Amino acid sequence: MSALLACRELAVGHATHTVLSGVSFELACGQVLALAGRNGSGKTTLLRALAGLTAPRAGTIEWLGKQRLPDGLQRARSIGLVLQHEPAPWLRVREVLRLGGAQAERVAEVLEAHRLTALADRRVNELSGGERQRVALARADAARPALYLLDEPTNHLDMIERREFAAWLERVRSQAGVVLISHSRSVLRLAERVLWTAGGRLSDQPPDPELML
Amino acid sequence: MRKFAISACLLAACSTPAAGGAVAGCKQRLVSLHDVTTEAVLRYGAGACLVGVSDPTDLDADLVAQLTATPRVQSTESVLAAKPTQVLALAIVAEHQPELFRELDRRQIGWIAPRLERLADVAALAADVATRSERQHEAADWLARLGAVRPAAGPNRPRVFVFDCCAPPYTAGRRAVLSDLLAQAGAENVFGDVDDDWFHASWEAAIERRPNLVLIDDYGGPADLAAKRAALARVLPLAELPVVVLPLRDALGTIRSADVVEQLTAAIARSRG
Amino acid sequence: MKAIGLALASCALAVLLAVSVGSGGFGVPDDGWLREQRGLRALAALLTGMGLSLGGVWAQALFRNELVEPFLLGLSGGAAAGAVLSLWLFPGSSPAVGAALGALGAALAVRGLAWQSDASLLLTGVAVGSMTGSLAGLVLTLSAQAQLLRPATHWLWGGFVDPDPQLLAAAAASVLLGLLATWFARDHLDRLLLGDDLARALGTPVGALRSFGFLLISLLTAVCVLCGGIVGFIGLLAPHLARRLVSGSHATMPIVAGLLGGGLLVCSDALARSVFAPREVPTGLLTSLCGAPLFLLALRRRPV
Repeated sequence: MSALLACRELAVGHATHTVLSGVSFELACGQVLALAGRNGSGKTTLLRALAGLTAPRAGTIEWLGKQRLPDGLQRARSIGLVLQHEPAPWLRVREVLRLGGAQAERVAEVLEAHRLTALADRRVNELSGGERQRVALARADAARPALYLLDEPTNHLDMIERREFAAWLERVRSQAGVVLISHSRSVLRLAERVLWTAGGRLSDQPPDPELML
Repeated sequence: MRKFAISACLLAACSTPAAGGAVAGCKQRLVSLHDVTTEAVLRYGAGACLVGVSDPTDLDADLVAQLTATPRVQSTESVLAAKPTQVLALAIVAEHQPELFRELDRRQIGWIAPRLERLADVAALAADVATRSERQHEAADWLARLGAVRPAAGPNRPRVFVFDCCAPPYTAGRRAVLSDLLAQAGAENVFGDVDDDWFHASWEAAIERRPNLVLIDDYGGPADLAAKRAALARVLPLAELPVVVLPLRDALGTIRSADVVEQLTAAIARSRG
Repeated sequence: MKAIGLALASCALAVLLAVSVGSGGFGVPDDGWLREQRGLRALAALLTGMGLSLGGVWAQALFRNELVEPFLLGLSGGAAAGAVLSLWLFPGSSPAVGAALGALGAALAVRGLAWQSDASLLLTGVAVGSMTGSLAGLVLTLSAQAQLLRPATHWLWGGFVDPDPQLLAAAAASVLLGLLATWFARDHLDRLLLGDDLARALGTPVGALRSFGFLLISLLTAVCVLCGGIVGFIGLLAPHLARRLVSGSHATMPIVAGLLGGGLLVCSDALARSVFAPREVPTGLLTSLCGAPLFLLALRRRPV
């Protein structure tokens, strides 16, 4: 069976230069892979490439054996993306959860699972940072994607909400794969494997031994 | 070398055309900032006394031809640079350029800028221009004709809707000279009760006032008149009314207003005939 | 649904008011032509209001910015320049076609000059609009023909005098197209509010949507300019009001915005030809006077 996500000698970067190269890994269903490293070292750039938002400068990415993500709503069911800085739309929470094609029943289920029922009819741009982060996770969750790509998913979350995130991750990994970026040790510890950015490449070893988990 | 330079400058200064000096045959240096006053000066034969004139827009071609060598002025700077002794204008110019007239007062330069609302105002302006251009003799006939106009009497005065342009229609109110010209011609402007000179009315209001004649201001050119007739034709309650056409330059108060009243009287009578 | 019903009722009331109110006071006129004209004007105002509101909905979604309206994209300056140039070159003709072409031309110029980011597009729109607006002003100021000023001045402020039934048919078709397009693209427009990246990740063809949206805004605005001149503020106000009445989702909000915008413009036009009778003032002048208090009320209720 094809891996959920497979990268071979991937190089990603911006218009004028490469930030990461030689990236090769596979992710199967049930696995959580974390990306860690200094700010500006290419983690988000890599995640965007894994989400199909940018083309790699070299190498290949395959999603379930295919070199192209599906179009339309199938894409939402393929990847659930949470970005580090998301605009706060003037939509209601309930409406945001529908955007991946989830029906009313699934929306209610996700609202309940993420403790957002009380906020269902509030506008996202009126919520606090932590509430918006939970909405972002819930939105990614609502379409039941096979692969979650999460950039700093615990930003703005308090201690209790971080514990809830950990519980959610545990539930989700049984039916999906997760690639996440984090600076938090506690979140990195939730992953089976942590890849560290250093010198334009990825490594299983942290650049500084003190960073060992 | 220094002496040479000074001499050269003096020579240049002497060679400059007599800025501020007298014009041959004229005691006054006239600047006219409106077609109405320009026309009066030209028809009085004082065109050579014009040292500056605003760009003519509604003058007869033969009058415009007399202005080919006359410098065009408009801004305060350009007017003052012409060194006038008299500035002739209408109130609308003074409203747009108050700073010019303040400066003329400061320099004690004579000026007129009356508001023309009635034929009597036109007659007064004509006399004033004649005095300031020192052409009283040449103006005598014009002034006599203006003074001789008497309002036509009689019942059943036609009710005239003045259609200048546009949608909604631009029309004349009480303070437009045309209203008084119509009254002198024995007609009545349907918007003659509105305390304004020119304004945009609504077609509805025009219809409600039940005119029985339409007067179109012709800006000149076949396209303008055709477009206005077409616009009127679309307003069904007004479409069948007889139409009198008046060139735009005649709709303003000019020294020819006595002739205009005569023409209007005849045209209205013909249209009702 | 309740909101749509309410908006529809308000709109119907506005049309009824427009037909009943005139320079002579309150009452449906006996004259058949006057009744027809009032009806045509109300229809013209309704369609123009709907068109501008839909343009505003798309503009605010494409730019994720509640302060954007179609005329901010340079279209009003282009329309003004087109109208004035048309009057200058073809005096006596209607400025409508020139204005519509000017609006489209400005839209193309903006689109061609800047597509790197929302900010650059908006800024380019402002620059192009200012430039073309200044060109219009320059022609008006320097023109020796004072009579050029009169049709331009009234027309530039917007109005629905002498509506052309053929133009109304074109406007109706454009508004219908706009409504259908908005309905079918409603989920994509919602996703766009999450940002281009997330919208793509959710399957929205962002590039194609933006291109289509820009084209639709240009078309709707050009047709509205043809019908009623430059009527600003509706494209900004109507989506705002609708958003506060229903929600920001593009399922129902655009329809409510269209009805509110149309109704508001119908009322403004009725007032324009009756409140200052026998004078008729440009409708666009009254739109802001009527609309701004509503806007401020809505802002108080729910700040941006």
